[in-house]
This record gives sequence, C-alpha cells and structure tokens, in this order.
Amino acid sequence: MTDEWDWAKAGGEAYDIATSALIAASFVVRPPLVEDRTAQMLGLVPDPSQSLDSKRLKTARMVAGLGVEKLARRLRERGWTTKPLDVIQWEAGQSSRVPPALIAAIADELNMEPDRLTRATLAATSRLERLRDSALLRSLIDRIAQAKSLSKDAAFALLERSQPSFAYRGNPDDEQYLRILERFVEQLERGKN
Amino acid sequence: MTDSQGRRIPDLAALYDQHGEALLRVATYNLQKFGAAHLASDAINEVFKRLIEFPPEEDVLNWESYLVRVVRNKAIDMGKREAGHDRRGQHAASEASVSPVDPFEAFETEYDVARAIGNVNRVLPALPDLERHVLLALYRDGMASKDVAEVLGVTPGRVSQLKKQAVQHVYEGLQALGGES
Repeated sequence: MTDEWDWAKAGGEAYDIATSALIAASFVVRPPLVEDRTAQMLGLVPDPSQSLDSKRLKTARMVAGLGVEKLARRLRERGWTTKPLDVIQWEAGQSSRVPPALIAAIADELNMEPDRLTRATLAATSRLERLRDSALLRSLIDRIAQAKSLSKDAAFALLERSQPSFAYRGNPDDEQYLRILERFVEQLERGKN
Repeated sequence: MTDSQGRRIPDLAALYDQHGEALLRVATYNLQKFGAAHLASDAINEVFKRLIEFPPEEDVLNWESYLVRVVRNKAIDMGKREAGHDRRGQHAASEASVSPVDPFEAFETEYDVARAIGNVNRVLPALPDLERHVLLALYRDGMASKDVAEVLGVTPGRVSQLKKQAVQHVYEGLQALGGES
C-alpha cells in the first residue's frame, strides 16, 4: 500500500466522496446528437435536408489542387479526425451525412462557400413537391422559366437542384421557406446564379 | 485562423466532437460538489458560447487541457451560484451540497481529475464482482441502496460496506495507474 493511500485513509471521508464523484462522472455519456444543444449550436448535427455533393466536392478539390491526403491532413490540423479514406468515401457518395460544421471546414479549405458543396436531399425535394401548387411557388417557377428560357418543368428541376442550403437553417415554416426561395430567384434574375 | 505564434486554432466543433464526453464528465464531477450535476450540459454550452464570441487571448498549446480547465472553472462558478441560490431558499440547501468543496480541493491538488475519470473504466473490471455490481447499480443505473440490497439479496448495511470497499479499491487502482497530476 502506498504512502498516499495511507494518507488518503487518514483523510477518510473526503477521499471517499471525491472518488465516488469520479466514479459517478465516469458513467456519464453524451446525449444523442439531436438532443445535444452544444452539438446543434456548433453545427455537428447533420442536416437531413442537405448532403455533401460528392461530384462537386471532387471537382472543387481538384480545382483547388489538393490531393485527398492533403485535404484530410488540413482538416486534421483544424481538429477533425478526417482520414484520406473519409475523403474518398465522401467523393464516392458513400458517406454523405457529414455535419454542417465539417462541410464548412472543407469549403473553407477549398476557398468556396459551403452551399456550393451541398445538395438538397429527398426531404428538401419533397417539401418543394408539396408546395408545388402554391401560388407563390408557381409564380417563382414562372419567373425562373422566363429568366432562363426554360420550360416550367425544367425551371422546377433547376430550383430543386439549386435550393440554397440556408433555406433549411432554423427550420423555417412554409411561408418563410418560400420567401427564402423568392430571394434566391431574385438573385437568379439578376444573373447571380 | 491562427494564434500569435502562427499556430492554427482548431475548429470549436471539431474540439467538441472529440472531447465533448470527457468535458461532460469533468463538468459533472465538479458540479457534484454542489449537488448540481444536472447543470453539466449547461456549463459546457456556456463555455462554447463564450469561446465562439471571445476566442482565447492566450496561445493555447494543448486544447484538451485548456478546455478541461475552462469547463472546470465554469462548472464551479455555476455550482457556487446554484448552492448560493439554494441557501437563500427555505430549506433546499443541505450541508452536504456545500461542505465537500474543501476536501475536494485537497483531493485535486494531487490528482489529475480528467485523467482519473477516464481511468475509472480501466479499474472497474479488476474489482471483485459484488463490489463492481454495487458501483454499477448505484452510480451508473442510479438505483437506491435499498433496491440494490434487494436485487443482490443482502442487507442495506452490507451494500454500504461493499460500496465503501469498492470506492477504496477504485482509488487504489487509480493510484496504481498513475492518476496523479
């Protein structure tokens, strides 16, 4: 038995209490991500309406002149645990549920906006489908069709493909969502997209 | 973003992703002193909110140690506030929720708490079965002593005795693993 332990025994209850507190703390586990406010605040909860676009990522990485290993290393330097295999899987479309904070880090390393690396998923698409008959969405599709000389179906497909990722941040209701899309169409009309 | 020495400042999200659970345990440990373990998540949330707004001015060489220190301080601040609040209440404050602060500090002067918390799970398998069952039932499953006694078919006094022995064995195990700071 160590001298420290003898001392601890002499110290008695304080060590008992402190060790008990250590034991209790060691059993604490993190809550699931969706219930973790800090994880949400920091962008660690994957957004079901957006996923990493594998083709855009690969193109952007090559344009930036970064190899798979170099991108992974740069992300590790930022504190992420990314391995080259992760990047390969993202680019192969095998692992698209990447948290927004990591997408932002990837985009930062590739000198681009995070929105350019994501695409709307089924959840986002089905919301557009559901709202397709609303007066505002119909007028937006007309405006896109006119601005881009497209059929209405092609205009809808363009909107579906191009939905800005911020359209889902903060969980907007349908009206807010349509207003966000309206601003997006205004930009499109001004030739920004 | 880089610090004054040109070192890259890691992404806070990445740090939380990597160390979140350890930080939650450190916060829980420190808040237990004040009977306020339920505030552990709030303490961590406050720390990260603050870091988003005001990144550290000092150059940080070891982010894990830095976060452990900041979370510990925040947890103690919040615990003190909670204990103070309780004392102002009619009878909410028990002596036990406030008095263990000094003994804890004595314990911590020779102990790296974050490391020790991580080492508890290495020590537990070496405990005698009955002692380990008692600790798991009391601390992991949150069972009351009398329920543990019923499940194990022993008296509540025996549970108390087993718990005391188990805690002492954990302490010895941590010492053997070199948990001193």
